[in-house]
Amino acid sequence: MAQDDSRDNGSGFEAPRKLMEGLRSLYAGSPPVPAELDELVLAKARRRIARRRPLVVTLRWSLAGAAAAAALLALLVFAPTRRSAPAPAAQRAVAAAEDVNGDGRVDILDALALARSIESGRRTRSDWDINADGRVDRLDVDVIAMAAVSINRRSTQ
Amino acid sequence: MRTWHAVVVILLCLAAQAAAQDAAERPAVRFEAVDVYVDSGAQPLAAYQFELTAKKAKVAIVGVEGGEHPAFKEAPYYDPAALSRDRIIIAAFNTGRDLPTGRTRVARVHFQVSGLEEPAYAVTLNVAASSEGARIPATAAVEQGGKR
Repeated sequence: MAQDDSRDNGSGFEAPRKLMEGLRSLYAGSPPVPAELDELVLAKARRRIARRRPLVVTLRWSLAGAAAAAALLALLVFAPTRRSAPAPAAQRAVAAAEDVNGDGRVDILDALALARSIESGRRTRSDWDINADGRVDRLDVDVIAMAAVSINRRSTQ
Repeated sequence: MRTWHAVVVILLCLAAQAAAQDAAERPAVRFEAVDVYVDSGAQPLAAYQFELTAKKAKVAIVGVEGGEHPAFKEAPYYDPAALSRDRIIIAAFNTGRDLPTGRTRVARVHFQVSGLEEPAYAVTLNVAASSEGARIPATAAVEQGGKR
């Protein structure tokens, strides 16, 4: 015996057959969509995706540019420090010439020693010609004194 | 619309008042002179070298003068790069016979001070020497001079 869908035996509710058939036909399949509307939606989606692609590419290039700039900045910050640092041997040679009294440091006492030596007329060493002008005179004393007070290096070298 | 205008005007007035108050509280730039003394006791002082620093405040060295004794009256040696900084090394020598003994002012350093903090000056004597170039025991001290 076929079961009648229009009857609910549990609750006793009965719906008219016509209403039941109408509801069944309404939810039976997907509503018909015209092909033009489908095409329109697809075209719009394609356009939007096409617009997004350059943004992604731009973002990638921006990130690459920022990384390159950071690398360049790091080079600029660290490279001059390495370049400007004088070789220890050269530094020692200059310090040795300025260290007139030979106490292992360059300070005002070296300038005083050279000044006294020049004033007394004693023979001066050729390596005391600090400014390399062919003479050992007061200018060399000034160069040593200025080296002693230089704030870019320690006075007691 | 009128309410918005009133709110904007009130906000502008408050901002202007805050800016004016901030400007009034900001201290003016001032100048201080710092005297540096070296005491070599009974030994005649022929050469000195010291390092002067200023901490705790925004300062800039703006000038250096010589001392009070004729032997150190002339401007001493210093690195011009120290100007506009808070640290300087100063030195001088004299090969003459008229040299100071005891406590003598060897230099005066002028500072530009900005901000509320009072600078703390410190001096370190690197070396003091006799006319023969021999190191002699000595002490250095700073005294704050006038402000303007």
